[in-house]
Amino acid sequence: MASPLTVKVHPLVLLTMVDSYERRSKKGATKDQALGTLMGFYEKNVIQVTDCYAIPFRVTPGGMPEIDDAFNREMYHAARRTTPSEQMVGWFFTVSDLSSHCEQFHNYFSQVVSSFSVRRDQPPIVLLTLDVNFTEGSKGNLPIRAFLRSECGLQKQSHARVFQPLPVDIEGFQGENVALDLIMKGVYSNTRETVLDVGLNPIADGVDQMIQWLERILKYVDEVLAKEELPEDSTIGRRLNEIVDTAATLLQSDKRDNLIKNSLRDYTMISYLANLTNAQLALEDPIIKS
Amino acid sequence: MFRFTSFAIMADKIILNEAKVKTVQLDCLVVMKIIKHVDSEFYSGMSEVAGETCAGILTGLIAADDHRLEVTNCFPTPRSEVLIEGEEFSQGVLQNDDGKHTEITDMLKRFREMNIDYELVGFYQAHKFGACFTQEVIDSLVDYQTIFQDGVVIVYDPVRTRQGQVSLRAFRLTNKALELSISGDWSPEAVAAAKLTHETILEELPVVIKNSHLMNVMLSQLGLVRKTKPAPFLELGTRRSLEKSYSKYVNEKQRYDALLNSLIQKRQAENDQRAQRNEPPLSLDEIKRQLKVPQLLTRGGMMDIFLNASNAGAFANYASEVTNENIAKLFISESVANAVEESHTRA
Repeated sequence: MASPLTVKVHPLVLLTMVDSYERRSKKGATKDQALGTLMGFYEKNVIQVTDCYAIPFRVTPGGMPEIDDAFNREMYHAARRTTPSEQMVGWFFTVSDLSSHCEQFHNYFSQVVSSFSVRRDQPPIVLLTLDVNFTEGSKGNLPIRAFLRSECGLQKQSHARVFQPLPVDIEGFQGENVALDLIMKGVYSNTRETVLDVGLNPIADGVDQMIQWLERILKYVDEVLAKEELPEDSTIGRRLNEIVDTAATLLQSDKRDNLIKNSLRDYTMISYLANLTNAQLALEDPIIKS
Repeated sequence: MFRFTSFAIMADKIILNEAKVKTVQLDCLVVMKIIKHVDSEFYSGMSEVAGETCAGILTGLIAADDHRLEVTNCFPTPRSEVLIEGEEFSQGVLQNDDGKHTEITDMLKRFREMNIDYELVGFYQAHKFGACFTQEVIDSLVDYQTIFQDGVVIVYDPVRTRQGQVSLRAFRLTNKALELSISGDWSPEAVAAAKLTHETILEELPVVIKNSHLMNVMLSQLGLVRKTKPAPFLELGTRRSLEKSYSKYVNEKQRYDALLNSLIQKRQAENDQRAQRNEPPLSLDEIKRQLKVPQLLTRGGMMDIFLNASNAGAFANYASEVTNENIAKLFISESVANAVEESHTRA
């Protein structure tokens, strides 16, 4: 039974998972694994996972997995108080393959979710896994997978439960995307650091990026014209058409001149007033001191 | 904002050492968490309703040899519920203070279980347009800095970030300001003796963001997977936020002016009063009554004036920076359009 659900993961969730993996307890049978709860909300055909927190767990020497339930509930209540719009939507586990323990953990989580949810039918619970082992198959990636557990069997009897994989998308709020861009610059520096950039520099960077994109588009158009074959990308052709249309209509010289003149006037006025305020504030200080 | 009242009593006897920290280093996780908390509150519309801005606690550790404050994790503090009825409000706030305290200590205990650094190093708050200079922020900073000398407040400006530049700044009180706050004496004489201006109450610390290696791997992978959207700040229309900030700073400026004028008048009255005492007093009662009048009515004295001045300055700075950026954008678009026209006339 194919489920149309997609899972949209926010980058904060992935970063928290990596962080809790780095801080995992290094002893016992649970080494190299981190486990925790996912918070988010449900939309039509989409599960948005916006936050998560790690919880302590262990596997006893007899092979029984245990989770600290009180901890989980306390963290859940704390999270509810700060962000009431979120609810528990699943759990995460940093393993490469699903094991029998996952089944029991999933049971626990479905119990907890149904005890907290107000609806009568059980909302779908997602299991998110992150493979941190850098095995051969993953080729240096950190593959992220999401699963939904469903019943399956023959002749309307449920013989078994299967974890079905779901498509994963990365999405974020507007501010999160901006922050992610900034943080990703740290990937390229030697000390893995970034300094916060204000002022005109980000604009310069943005313009550089736009120039790169424009050059790429130009190259693509040239190639398509040279080969004279028409690939499936009529959508790109339409988009280019739209862009050129808007450019031609909106950037007509007289309209544009008016827009620029008016805005320039407004901005210079505001800038003048702001500087005036600063000057006045600077003047007040000697008066106060005297 | 809550207060550690028991520690405030000890504060008189603490000798203030120089804060050893020169820069603040944030883990990328902290940046994302702060932004996510503030943005999701903005989405659900709560920031318009509640009285407090959304805030949270920072945890981490101090690297003494590098003079760095490393912030490795953070968590949001729940808001106190805003009750509309008048008398119940104050009681609710008092109970909430103690409740918040226990919640914070509980959370820190849980952090310790999960091997997360559990030492409090400061707090963060969200303020639009960067006008973060309120009395409660200063009070909280005083509390933090008397307990451990290196507490900071991180101010996040969601409006600026939405326009494309992440705006996270770290502040802490300067030593002189800290001494004055502890003694509670904000009269003009003490302030003049300490040579404080509204700019030197808070000092800003440079902020650096650091990733761990595994985070780098994850981030590079995210870079491949994400659909890149062009940054929103290249749009030309940002007038609405500018108007809001402009009107806000006009109000702030007026309040500041009014306070300043009243202060100056009172001081003049005091001076006249002292001149009069040299002459033989006609009736003692009248003079005693007059003596009481020139006291400063504002509780914080100079502090309020400074705060308003700093807020007005912050608004003005924001407005001027944004206008500069917009002027730059206008020139860019003009040159692009000129180039297009040239190519038209040529072809």
